[in-house]
Amino acid sequence: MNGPFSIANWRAWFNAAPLFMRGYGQTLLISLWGLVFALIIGILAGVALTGRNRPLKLFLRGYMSFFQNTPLMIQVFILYNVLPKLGVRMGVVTVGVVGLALYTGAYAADIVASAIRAVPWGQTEAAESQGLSRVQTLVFVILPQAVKVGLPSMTNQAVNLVKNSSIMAVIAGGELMYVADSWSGSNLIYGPTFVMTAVLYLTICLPISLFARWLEKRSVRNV
Amino acid sequence: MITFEGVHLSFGKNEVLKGINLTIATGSKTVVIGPSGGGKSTLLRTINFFEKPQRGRVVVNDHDLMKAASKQLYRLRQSIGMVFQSFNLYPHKTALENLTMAPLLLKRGGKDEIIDRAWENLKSVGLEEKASSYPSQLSGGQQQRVAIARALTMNPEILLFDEPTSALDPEMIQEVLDIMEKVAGEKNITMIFVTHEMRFAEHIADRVLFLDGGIIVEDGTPNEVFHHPSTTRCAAFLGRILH
Repeated sequence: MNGPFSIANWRAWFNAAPLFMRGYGQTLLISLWGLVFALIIGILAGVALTGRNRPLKLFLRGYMSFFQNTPLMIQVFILYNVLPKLGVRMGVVTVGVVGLALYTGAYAADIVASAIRAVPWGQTEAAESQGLSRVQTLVFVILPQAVKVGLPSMTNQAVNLVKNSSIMAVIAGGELMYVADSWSGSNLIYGPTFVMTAVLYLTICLPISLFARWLEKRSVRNV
Repeated sequence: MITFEGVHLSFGKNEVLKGINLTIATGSKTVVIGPSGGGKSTLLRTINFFEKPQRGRVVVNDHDLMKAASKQLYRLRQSIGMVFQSFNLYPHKTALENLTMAPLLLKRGGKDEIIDRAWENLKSVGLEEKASSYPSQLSGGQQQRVAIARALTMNPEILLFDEPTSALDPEMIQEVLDIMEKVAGEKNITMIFVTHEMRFAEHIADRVLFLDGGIIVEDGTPNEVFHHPSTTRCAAFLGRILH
């Protein structure tokens, strides 16, 4: 069989598989740290959005509007090419983690804020009537209930984050998409490369998606 | 003791309390009645400072709420329990945990002591066997009984009931009234009830307030207010409620 999916092309790809696995590892690493920091941003910003500090809320709205309404590629480009000129230098992995965290964090903040708002006001009153402080009310009464509401959408954001990590390819990020792009370009073997790259992304994203669907089903049942 | 001095409270342009002067004695059982929108719930919610008056003074156990900082307010609320119309149990906690969570967090006694107290209160509302049930597994009446036990487990000095039976199906009202009557008879806690249950009020109250249009229109014993109201407004209201 000739053409892009010839036996020789498949054989060549499998010989290069270790290279792809390194990229796969890099994707996992960037995604994991990106997710951790996106969650931290999302929880802190989401809580602040439901609070009373107006200047802070205005600042957060500005941050979220920028990161939700500009392409991630431009954001990463700024982090990688413009910030060094201002004296801020980051390694390529750090750029990836920071870029993904800021981008996903802007969406996570919305999810957290609306999950908090979905908890009935009576819960806050019950807790405050018992003498709990604002922080205790949030930590012990509101957030545990908000997690149930927000977790399915948050899990979908995690899937998006993993796929978005492919944007690192434009700044030589060394992750899966970059490996796929550069290896296929220099060896002119595109068919097996992109099929297998897609399969590798699936092995990360599909389990998370299935988990999200399971969570959604479970939360519907418990209401 | 709870004291209101010239308390005015508005929501925007709507003045809900128009100069309330009131002293409620420690350990007394007061029932507040009146038409909806008359300011009953607002009056109740001023006592734990859920609503903040624009003018006047509210003094609870020698603490002027108007001058209390948030930290003091949190502390004061620990001894002012509230039972809500819509129960507001914590849905992610079991019945027993609903009782123990706040006292444990706020260290209202030692751990074992709090857990013992919670069991005792759960028993006194007749729901010992529901200790490990979640609120969603309980009926409305059972949820409200747990809510009463939750308030009691804080060892409050004051207990506020904000229309505790209004959200219940008719067949569940009596079980909650019975529990409230029992608690009122046993405990030396200052209790204030906002309710439309006149027979209950007559049984347990030593004082009835009729609140209408943001002012206290009648103030007396159940016998005085229910059977010999001095104003036509109160008589007309009672006529509507009882028939």
